[in-house]
Amino acid sequence: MSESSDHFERFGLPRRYAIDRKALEAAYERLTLAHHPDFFATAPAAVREQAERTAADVNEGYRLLCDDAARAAWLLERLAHGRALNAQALPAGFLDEMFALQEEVEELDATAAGADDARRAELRREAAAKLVDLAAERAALFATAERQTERERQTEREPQPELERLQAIQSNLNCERYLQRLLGRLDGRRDD
Amino acid sequence: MTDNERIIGIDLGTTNSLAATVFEHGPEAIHAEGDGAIVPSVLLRGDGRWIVGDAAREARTIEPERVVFSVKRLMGRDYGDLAQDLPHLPYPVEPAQRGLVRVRIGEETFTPQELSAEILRAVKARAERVLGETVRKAVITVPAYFDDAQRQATRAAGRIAGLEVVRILNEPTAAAIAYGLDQKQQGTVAVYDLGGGTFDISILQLSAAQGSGSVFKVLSTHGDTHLGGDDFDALIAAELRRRLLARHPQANLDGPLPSHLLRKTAELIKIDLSRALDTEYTLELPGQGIAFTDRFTVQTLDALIAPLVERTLESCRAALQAAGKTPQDVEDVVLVGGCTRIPLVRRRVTALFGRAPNIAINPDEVVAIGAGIQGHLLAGGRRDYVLLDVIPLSLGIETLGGTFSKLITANSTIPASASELFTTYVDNQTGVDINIYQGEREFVKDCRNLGRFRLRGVPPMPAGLPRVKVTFHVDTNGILSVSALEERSGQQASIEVIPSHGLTNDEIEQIMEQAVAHAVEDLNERQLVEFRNMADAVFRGIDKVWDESKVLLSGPQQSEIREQMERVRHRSAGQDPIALKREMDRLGELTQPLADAIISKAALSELRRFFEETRS
Repeated sequence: MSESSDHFERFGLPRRYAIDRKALEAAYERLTLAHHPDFFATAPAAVREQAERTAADVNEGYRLLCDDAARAAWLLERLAHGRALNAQALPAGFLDEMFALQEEVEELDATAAGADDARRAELRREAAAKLVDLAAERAALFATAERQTERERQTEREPQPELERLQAIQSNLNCERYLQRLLGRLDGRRDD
Repeated sequence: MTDNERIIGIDLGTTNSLAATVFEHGPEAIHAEGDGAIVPSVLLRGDGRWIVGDAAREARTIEPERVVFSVKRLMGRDYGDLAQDLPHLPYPVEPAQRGLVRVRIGEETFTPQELSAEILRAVKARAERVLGETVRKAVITVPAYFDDAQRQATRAAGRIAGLEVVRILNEPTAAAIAYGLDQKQQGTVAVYDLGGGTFDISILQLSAAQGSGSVFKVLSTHGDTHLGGDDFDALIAAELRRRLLARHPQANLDGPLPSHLLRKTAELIKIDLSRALDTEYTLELPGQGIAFTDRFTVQTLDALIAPLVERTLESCRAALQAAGKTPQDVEDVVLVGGCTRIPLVRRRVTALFGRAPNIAINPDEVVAIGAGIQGHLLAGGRRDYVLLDVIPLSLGIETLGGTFSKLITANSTIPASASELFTTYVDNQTGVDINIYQGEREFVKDCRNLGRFRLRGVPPMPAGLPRVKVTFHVDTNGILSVSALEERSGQQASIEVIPSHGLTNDEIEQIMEQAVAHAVEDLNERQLVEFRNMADAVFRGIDKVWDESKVLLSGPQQSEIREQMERVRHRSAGQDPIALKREMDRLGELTQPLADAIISKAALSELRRFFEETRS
């Protein structure tokens, strides 16, 4: 992610967590049709290289804006405004629950392929349901934090969302990461 | 205007290659009269020259030790990678520097890049003949699943062939362009491309943006760069060998000739069984007094190739999952490549996607046509669509403990960039080595090493203080480039690339110089032949009028001409076309008065006849 560029600005979208998918897609197509290197194939090398860089940046912006967790992390950093958040924070009991699930997946991995497909499917469903809950919670937390920031901006006070709320978003994102990794393992992906 | 210089599309295939371009009436494969569009990707080496195409293909069973085919399988691979392929190839492949391979023909050896360049040269020459213009620029297609090294090798082949490779384009994507624009398709499309040596599956989203143009967005791609018709042929050939040996245990099937023969028969069986349920074949080894005739059924073929077809379906499922799609989401399945004519392949693909595949455009030509259309767009001929392709395999670096740290993940839209900060471990350290890998596995030992990037010129500082920002950029060709900046000093650190595979720029230059030298030799020879023929014609002309010249020319003039003719004769027997031309020009000057006299004599007699006729 290039720290300097504001992807929301480039895509002409309001800088908030809730995203208008239609507007995002339309902006992406517009930017791509304007900047794609294929339209500069016969231009001088410097122009071509600039188009390559701009298009890469547009693609990165699109990827980030589409990805809920990545978009949340980017916005959280800006809302925190340099204030430190506990990057490892998790809700009480969450880690124990994850360890138990991970152990179960490891056992499933050790058994013959196909033997416990039903249990795998069940675990996958549970993880997916938890992810849906997390997404809803995250959207609500952002909506409140963003409303507060907006109010403070109108009263010309330095916008400072409550640290507690931002910390809640941070731990929400941490949970998301654990669950995604668990899902990956269930699908046989051992990387990340 | 250089801006609109034609950019042709070339499908550089494992078994067949061809070019296409956009004509006034639309995009089409470049068909040479009598020769068709397809140049078989087969090479024959003889007398220090290459013969490429049909003639080379025919020579397989006549001069087996001089014929090379399926070069594409060797592109960008190292000797170790090819362990499974080499036993199936009738020509010897040897390891060379940095794990490169070279093909041996007699006393000579060649890199796969040089061999592919010869195929490209043949395709280019045919296109030039048809178009009546010099072709300098091309879009060359590669399997979508080609990694960085295989793409670089293809680009190098283009350069050696004297082509500016404006774009390396993925084959299934090229096919999607041809289909999408031809049939105004929209929605989710799967392109299943089973060629001579490679398999690709790409899932695309086709959409028409608001007024400004269409967007072809590749959502995901998967495949196998070592799975194709070649492998089917090898399985059939192995079955033929088994059957022949069962009947004739004494048969000697070693060496290039029986190997080429089994292959050729296997190909024919495969093609026959695309249209019939069984076929008869004969294997003849006249040297050993063997003529073996038998039947081959489609059931046998299906049983042999079913596991390979199943592997392509696994790739399809992986691609669908990566795209977040189910088979039911796919609105059209496009078949590309000669092997999609095999009934089993069609049945299995139909079953997986639950719909009959689209075969509206010739599966042998659709890739080249798409590349031709893309060439037209790149040349500025149109800008009503844009292509968004992806990187097929994740790119990353080696981190502690030999783990693979992905920087750009598979199926990211290209161009794509990623940056990573590096620092030093020792005080005043001025260099950092970074190992780059491509693949999907957890440890670098299971991924493909693309090369070592040696960072130099880091300002001397205490350990851990320098912040070197290294940017990895995958361009629209799917090819990686790396740049580095020391952030504290703002100094551009230098990057030295040490490729693990492929040719360095110096090596490509060297091959190109040799090619140019060869071209000069060829040109010399052509000129020599031309001038000799001219000299013969001039001699015949002089002989014809010599008796008259005795009247028209003085004695010294006559002997001067005689002496000069001797000099031309002497040079004509030599090898220097320039010297021959010089002596011929001199002869021309000396015979000028003779020619003038003969012309005026002819003119005089003409006039005389004219007067006589008017008088009578």
